[in-house]
Amino acid sequence: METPVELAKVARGRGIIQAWRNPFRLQDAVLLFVVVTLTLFFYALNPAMLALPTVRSILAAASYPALVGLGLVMLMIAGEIDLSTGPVMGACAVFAAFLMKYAGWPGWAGAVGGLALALVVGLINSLLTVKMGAPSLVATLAVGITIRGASYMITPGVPIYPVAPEVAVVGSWRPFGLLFITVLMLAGLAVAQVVLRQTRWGAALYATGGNRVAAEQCGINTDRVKIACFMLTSLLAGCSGLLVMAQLNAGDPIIGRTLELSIITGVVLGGASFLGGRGSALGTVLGAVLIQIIKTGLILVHVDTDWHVVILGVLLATSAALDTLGRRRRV
Amino acid sequence: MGVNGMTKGRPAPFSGRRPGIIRRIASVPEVAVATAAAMAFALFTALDRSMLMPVNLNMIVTRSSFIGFAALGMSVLMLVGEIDFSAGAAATFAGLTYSLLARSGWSEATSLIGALLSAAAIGWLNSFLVLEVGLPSFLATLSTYIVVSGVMPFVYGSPEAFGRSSLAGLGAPSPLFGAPWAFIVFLGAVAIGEIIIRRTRLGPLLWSTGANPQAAEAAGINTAAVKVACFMFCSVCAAIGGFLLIATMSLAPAYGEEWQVWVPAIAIIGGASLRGGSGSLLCALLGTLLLLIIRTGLGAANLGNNAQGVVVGGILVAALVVDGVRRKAKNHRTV
Repeated sequence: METPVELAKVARGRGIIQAWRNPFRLQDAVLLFVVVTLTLFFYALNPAMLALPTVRSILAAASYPALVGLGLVMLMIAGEIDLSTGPVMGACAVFAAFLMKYAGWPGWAGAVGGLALALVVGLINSLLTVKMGAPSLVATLAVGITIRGASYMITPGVPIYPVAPEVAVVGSWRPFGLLFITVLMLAGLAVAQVVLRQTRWGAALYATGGNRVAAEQCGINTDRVKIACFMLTSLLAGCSGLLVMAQLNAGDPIIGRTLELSIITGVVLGGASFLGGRGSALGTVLGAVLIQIIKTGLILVHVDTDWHVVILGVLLATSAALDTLGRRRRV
Repeated sequence: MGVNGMTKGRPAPFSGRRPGIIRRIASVPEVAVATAAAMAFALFTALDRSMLMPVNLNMIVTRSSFIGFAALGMSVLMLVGEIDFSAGAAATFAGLTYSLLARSGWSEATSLIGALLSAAAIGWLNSFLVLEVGLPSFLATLSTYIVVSGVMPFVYGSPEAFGRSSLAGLGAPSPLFGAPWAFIVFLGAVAIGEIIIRRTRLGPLLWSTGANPQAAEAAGINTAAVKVACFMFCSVCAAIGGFLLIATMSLAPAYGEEWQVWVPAIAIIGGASLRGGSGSLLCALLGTLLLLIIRTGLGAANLGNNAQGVVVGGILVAALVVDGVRRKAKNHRTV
């Protein structure tokens, strides 16, 4: 997808049929292979790996970071990063719960309020990065620290409980036998996959990340692209946080704690690069599932939880290293 | 398109007059941070008189000596455009190496040197990941932090208290208003560092490597070697900071996670930019004082840890905005 010829084809609006001929990249197929192999490996060590409750829990737990990852992968393709996704999840849940409990807002209005907060945070992130020229790493980190502290301040010690009853209803939805978040994530995956590979917007994303100056010369407003990506990422993070709240039936600021690292690892495993210009939606979801498989598998094989973070960190570093080393050789 | 068309109706940005004295003073980053620190101190004193109590002042000064030392190293590293999230791990690693060596019977001085060398090894590992493997510096140092702090408990066991060592004397009050000797050490390091950077060739070496690596390479500077040295320096400073902490507080708490965020935050508030080429040690000192005034002030006013996060995060955002505005203003002057 990222070759100049294919990008030009999509940008011109023609060549959709040609682009359709190969909807799955080789990288995604490899990732799928790794997912299957790893699952079988853990199954050999502990048959509970393929038990239905395990599989469902993996899918459910992976849906939250996967949903956020769909937004984050677009942002990373455009060449930026967002470390505030975890805090945004918690802050939106807390804010929505706050509105519902202390301001008496109905469930849907609280949710809208939470999402509005997410959009505002995304806007702040984007303005700091795009207009003020701050490196996105530092800007999103600073914003993340601020709103995490703020969400802990609003909930002194105790999570906000209970929230409006409609929230629990959403938490118990089971469309197609899956959690609502999983359905949302799969729908998002389909939309993102199409957008990234078939539309001009997707081509603009890859162009912005691949060579910003050249993209500007082509008439792409890279500032607007990045602002939209930041706001989308925060919006999805807020969505994810609200849905966690629906499961917990409480607005807890601990939602999303340490999750931003898992989200980024999933996205990088799925093929995104910190240097921008690479990434795919399917890869992101597979990456999130892979992370969850590893986490669950490690628990089933009785590996000490202290080692989990280490293993994930090494995984993140290794996949990023493979990416940067591979890119260098191509130059 | 005549000449008038090319100027787009805007007056020439270069007016030929020196900006006023106020603006020139305000553009010095040290002044901004010092002013912020003074204002914060005044604010907290107004809110709660207990800020002026000796125990609080002592806490500010003591804590700034060790976290400030780590910020020193971080400022230098940010001068060359890199960041280090593994400062806390390097400090803990050095502390554990020291106790391991001391327990095995090595003399105290050699144990210290060994510990600092182990911290330098972590710095070297960071530089290897960044320069050879090509990882972005935040990811490389974050991975180092995760791996080192994950592996350490298994290899080393728990750290030992340092009460017996002569380092403990650093916590004692010195003639300077009763501030602990550790603070004197810190001030001395800042002074020496500033002199070195501003008077010798080292300063321009670091600045050019950070601000424009290609130009620096063209000028014959070995940017890779400079970066390796800076990474190692940052880790060693973090380790020294860790020793100062143990000496003054006489216990070895787990300070890795806290430092991960606060130390780079101090450096950035102090004017360092992640794009390299700016920052100063004096700013690191002032930034440390600002941060600790805020923390102690919030503690004295009983506002708790979370308020710290909000305030420091907010200041960081403000610092980024100020930096952005300053950069835009600089770009508008066409001379």
